[in-house]
Parts: sequence; C-alpha cells; structure tokens
Amino acid sequence: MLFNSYPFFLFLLLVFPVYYFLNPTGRYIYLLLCAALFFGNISDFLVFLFSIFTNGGGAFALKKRREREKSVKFLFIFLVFVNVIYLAYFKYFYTGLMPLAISFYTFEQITFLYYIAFSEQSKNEYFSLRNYLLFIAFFPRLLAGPIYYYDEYKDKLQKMLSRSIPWEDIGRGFSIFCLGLFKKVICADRMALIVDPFYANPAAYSTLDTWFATLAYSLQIYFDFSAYSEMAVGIGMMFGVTLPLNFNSPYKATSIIDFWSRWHMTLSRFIKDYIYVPLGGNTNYQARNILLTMCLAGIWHGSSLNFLAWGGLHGILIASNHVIKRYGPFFFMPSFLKILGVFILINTSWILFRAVTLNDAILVFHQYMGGSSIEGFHFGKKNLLITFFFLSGVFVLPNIQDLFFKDHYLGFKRSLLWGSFCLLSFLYTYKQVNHETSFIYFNF
Amino acid sequence: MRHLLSILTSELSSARKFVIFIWVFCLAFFIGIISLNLWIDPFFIFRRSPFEPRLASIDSHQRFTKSLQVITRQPHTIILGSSRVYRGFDVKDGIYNMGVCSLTLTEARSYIDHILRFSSPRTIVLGLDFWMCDTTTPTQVDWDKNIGSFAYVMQSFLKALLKPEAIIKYLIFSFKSIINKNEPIKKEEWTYEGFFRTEKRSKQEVEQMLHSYEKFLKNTHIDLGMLSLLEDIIHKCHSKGVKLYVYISPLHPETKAVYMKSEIGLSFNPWREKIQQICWKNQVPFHDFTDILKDSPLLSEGSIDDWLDYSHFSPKIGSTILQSFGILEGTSN
Repeated sequence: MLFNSYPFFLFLLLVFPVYYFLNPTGRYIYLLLCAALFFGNISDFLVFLFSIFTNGGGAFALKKRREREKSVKFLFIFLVFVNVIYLAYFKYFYTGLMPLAISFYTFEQITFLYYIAFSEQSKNEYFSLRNYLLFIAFFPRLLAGPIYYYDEYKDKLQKMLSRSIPWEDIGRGFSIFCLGLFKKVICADRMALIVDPFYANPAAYSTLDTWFATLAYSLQIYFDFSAYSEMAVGIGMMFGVTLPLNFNSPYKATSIIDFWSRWHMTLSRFIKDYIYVPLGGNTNYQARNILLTMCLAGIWHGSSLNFLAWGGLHGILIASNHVIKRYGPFFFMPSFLKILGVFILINTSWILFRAVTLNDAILVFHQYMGGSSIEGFHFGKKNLLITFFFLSGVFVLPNIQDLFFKDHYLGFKRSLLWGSFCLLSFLYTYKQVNHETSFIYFNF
Repeated sequence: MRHLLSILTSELSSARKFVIFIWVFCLAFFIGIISLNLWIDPFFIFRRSPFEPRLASIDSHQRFTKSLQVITRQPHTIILGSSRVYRGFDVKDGIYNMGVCSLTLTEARSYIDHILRFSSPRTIVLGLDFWMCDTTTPTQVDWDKNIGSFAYVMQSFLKALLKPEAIIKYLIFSFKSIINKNEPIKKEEWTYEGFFRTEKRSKQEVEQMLHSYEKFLKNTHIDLGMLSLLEDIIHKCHSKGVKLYVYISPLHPETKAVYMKSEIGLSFNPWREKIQQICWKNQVPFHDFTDILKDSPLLSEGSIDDWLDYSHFSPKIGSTILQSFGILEGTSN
C-alpha cells in the first residue's frame, strides 16, 4: 500500500484511532497485521517471511552459541552472506519484479544480527522474538526506510506499545505526513512530467533542455525520497515512535562530505558502519576504502554500469574532498559559492543515476556539455516557472527538522492556522493522488 | 483582522483539541466523498442505471472500471476485446461487454485471470486485432500490473469510493450547463452491460482516424511469438471449464489497405494463419471476420452504413459475429 493512495488515507483515518485505544498485546498484533496488509501482495510478503524466519532462526543460534561461550564470528559471516545472496538474487538475477522493501529489511536484519552476535548488552539479554518481530515489521518504515538499528529502537518500540501516545505527537506527526504528501504528489510527481519524457528519448532534446531536465531530476529525486521518509517519520510519530530523519537540506551542503551527511542519512550511516569501517575506515588506505564503499553503494542501486560509475564518481569526489580538507583550503570561498559548486556536481552526477544504461548516460552527458545538434527550449514557460519556484523553495524554505524539531519562527504550533494549512495541503493533494505513482526508492 | 489572525495563530489550549479538529474534518470529508460516490457512482459500478450518463467517468478509466463492473455484474457471457468490442456489441441479458480501448494480448491474459477468479462466466468471446501483438506496447499506461489479485480488487473498490471524480465532474458539468445552455447534448453513453453507444462520426473524423492509424502503424512491431499468450488464455479457460470463442475482428477495406501499405502488412496473413492453427489445435471455435464485407449476406459490400468509422464496426456487425457463434438467436454458421 502506498502512502500516496486513497486506501492508505482511509486506513490511517480508521486504523489509527483503533490502535490508540488498544492494550499493548492488541497493539502488537495490530501492528503485525498492518505490516502484512502493507505488502499488498502475497508473494512479496512470503519473501519477507522467509527472511524473518531465516534471520530469526540465525539470531537464535547466535544467541545459543554466545551463551555457550563459543565463537560466533563464522556463523555471523555466514548469516550476513545468506542475506547478501538473498538480496542479490532478487535484485540482479530474479526475472520477475523485485520484492518490495527487500533491500531495507535486509539491511536492518544485518544490524540486528550484529547486535545479537557482538554487542555486550545483548550477551546478558533474553532473546525476544516479540522485540525482533516488532522491529522488523514496524510498518511506517517498512517499504523504503529510514533504516534504523535494533539496539537503538528495541526499547523505544516496546515503550510505544505500552504508553499513551501524547496528543502533541499525533498532531505533529499528521502535520509532517501532510507536508511529505504534498512534496511527493505536488512537487516530485510534477517534476516527473519533465524528466520522464526527456529520458525516454534524450536525443530529441537540446542542450538547454538537457540542463533543465537534469535540474528537474535533481529536484524530483530529492522531493520523492525525502517525502517518503517524512511521511514515514510522521506516521511513526502518530504511532508513538520518532524514527530517524533521513534528509537535512542536502542541496545546501557546502562540500561533498557534507552532502553525504545530509542525504539519505540512515543509509549513509549503515554503509559507513557496515562497509566502510570494516574495510579499514579512516585508518588505512582511506581513499581506497571510500572508493570501494561508494562503488558498492552504487551497485546496490542497480546492476547496470551507470550505477557503478555513479558510485565510483562519488567515491572519487569524497576522497578528493578529504584531500582538500587535509591539505587545503587553497583559497577562501564564500559559502554560497561552495553550495552552488556542490549542487552543480551533484546535479551532474544524477545523470548517471537516472539514465537507463551507461550509453544513455554518455549521450545525455554529451548533450549536457553542449553536444546537442537540436536548438531551443521544448519544455515551455510553465514548466520553467514551476521548476524555479520549487528550486528556490529547496534553498530558501526551512526543512522538516527546522519546522518540527527546532525552535524556528515558522515552526509547528498546534494552532488553527497550522491545522488549516495541513488540511488545505491535504485537500489540494487529494485529487492528484488519483494518478497514483510509486516512489523512486521502491526500485532499490 | 488582527483579532482573527491572533485566533488563528495562537496555540490551542490542548493538543487533544488540535487532533480532534483535524480528525473530525478528515472524517467528514471522507464521509462526504464516499456518500457522493455511492450516490452518483461515476464509474457506474454499483448502480443499475446511471445517475446521469454525462457524468460517467468511464472513458478515461476504462480498464479500472470494467475490471470492477465485471465483478458486480457477474455475467454468464463476457466479450473481451478492444474499442471495436465496446462500440460494436450492444448486448443484454447477462452478456457483458468488456471491451477496453487498445487492449493488448498481455492485458487480455491478465484480464482472463481476473475474470476467472472474480466472475463466473460460462462463455468468453475474445476479439483479436492485429496490433494486439505489438511488442512496443505490451500494456497501456492505465494498466495495473496487479490486476487479477485479491489486493487489486480490494484497493480498486476502495478507490472507486474515495476518488473525488464524482464531485469534480458534477461541479464541472453544472458549471458548463449554466454557461452553455443551448449546447447540443451528445448522445454517446455507456450502458449497464459495458456497451458504448457511439454517435455516427463525421466524414472528417473518419478521415482523421485513418491518418492516425497510418502514423500508429509506423511505430508498431508485430511479433507472432506473442501468440503464445493466446495459447495461455485457451489453457486457462479450458482448465476452468469456460467455453472460449475466438474471432479476428472485421476489417474495413480502407483500414486493410492501410495495413497492407505499411511494413508490418507482411505479417498480417501469417498472423491470421497462426491464430487459426492455435484455435484448431486446441479445438476452440474460431472465426476470421477480416473480410466480413465479402462473406456476409447480411451486409452490403463497401457500405459505410455498417461501420461507425473505418475501424469500428456497428452493432449490426457485432450481432452477426455473436450469431455466427450461436450466442445470440439467429443464423449460426
């Protein structure tokens, strides 16, 4: 079930009040049922169940070995290997549609196994199947993150079941959800109307069009994914848990390193903790470790060469950034120029990410550099105006953190004005939801 | 004004009031939408006769609407095909016209799954068109890949109740009728059985259609391998004990000439032969109506009267097709 769909709206309107009045056991069963409902089709759900069964059993075996003071290293590596093979099979070799959410819950299973295998805290802890199921099946973040860690959330999730949810959190959560919905339906889907025709046949467009479509894609992917994450955070909050935030105005980053600390923050953290650090992190061969980590991150997004190139490019950019940080700065640069420079680099690199094949990416890049024989601008004034309106919003308006978690002058208040604003944005998006579109990150 | 602003911006005394304000508003909104959708029924799913034929939102949601109508109608006979079907078969009494615009063979197979799972017909008639085997468009844009699943049905019924279509259409219609009081009303409408009553086209419209056909065929790539889908359909129907009839749509001489002029024209006769072979092999009643104008004593050769345009045949030809299978009373070949 998509967040931007009518059935979900009804689900939220009717399901949530029931949850509020249930006892802890009722809430627990209810949340598991919601997770099953969320998959929408039985085959995806079975893939999910198999993963739960394997990792639950694996965790139990790990726990038993630790209790008998035996080494768990090989069993842990084996279980991670099984998870990676499972994910790789469905991502790269399975001929049908990739099962929904498989990447995200696989990553979370790995953090769970790591906790069971190596954490000091878990050594003396009773293995709770209930905690594990709740962690893995908490539905708001199930389909595309934010990725959270078992050790950080098991207690919060348990508390969520037993405590009375503050009304303040429900109101705040609903408001975050409305803003996320607006971002997805009005902003991201509007940008898709520019991007999709362009990438369907890039050769038919001019250099100016290529610049414009590339810019539109930068906005689309940001709006689309941050919208999903924010909706997840909003719903999580309504159910009593504050999920980790995934975005913090990434296009306002002043360096590539800064960008990755603001973009898809929970995935960046996972990659850092589970790939970069085990490879050696900052200690030995830092540049190699960065490059390898980013290439793996690229391949995770897709098996085609353009994703590998995208990851590699970011690896080079991050490594170069580290060199500049260590030996520079060579000259003073005002912040706005840094932001502009980083934005242009990121914007250009999205070409590799969006193009279907590497050849397509090369063609678009060639046009981007002025190589198109076609002249003029084919997207019309209306699209131009809307895109620059959205672009200025990205740079000027406060983000969700500012509005809901900091003391910003425009920040959330439980006033009639905020309530009306949320309801109006909800009503405005309601009609557009008619053309239900999936989220970009569901493909990964 | 300042007083109003201060009321709007001041914090409510309790967060509970804020949440209840939002929840009650949303609940009222949803109740309103659902009531209007049930009353007006813009997709003509629940009602026996349309609230107002001009308010029906079927045209742009044909795949969605017909997949639900076939469940609420529970017909004993279903005719599946393209726009030639929904414009050409004026059926009644338990026969349902499931024609949708530019149906492809891939979609037809999923529709058969859907029909066999959620409806219980005794007979299915499948109308085939040449471009159904076009590999460049395996499914149309409004196609839902989950069709045939229980989740699809549940979600679609919910969507039919929650889409704001009815209210928007009603408002636009009311607004238009106020402005253009003397505008002639089109008599085209969808019937309960899924037939679309089409007005006679003007000569200009008919000519335009032929040009767009020529353009369309240039980007079409026919692959006879796609007919394996037809075999799949036949096996699915046989396994459920449903009688399947297959026919190739009648072709107006003008349209046939366009086919033959195009590059893909070379595949046209092999395509017909292969369908015939598949049907004979699997003992499926089959008729090739490509040259119906020559064959049928009922129809006058070359007359445009039996055609809505150069692509769509009239219900008169539709009846002839059903009669030839013995489904309607009349001469059975």
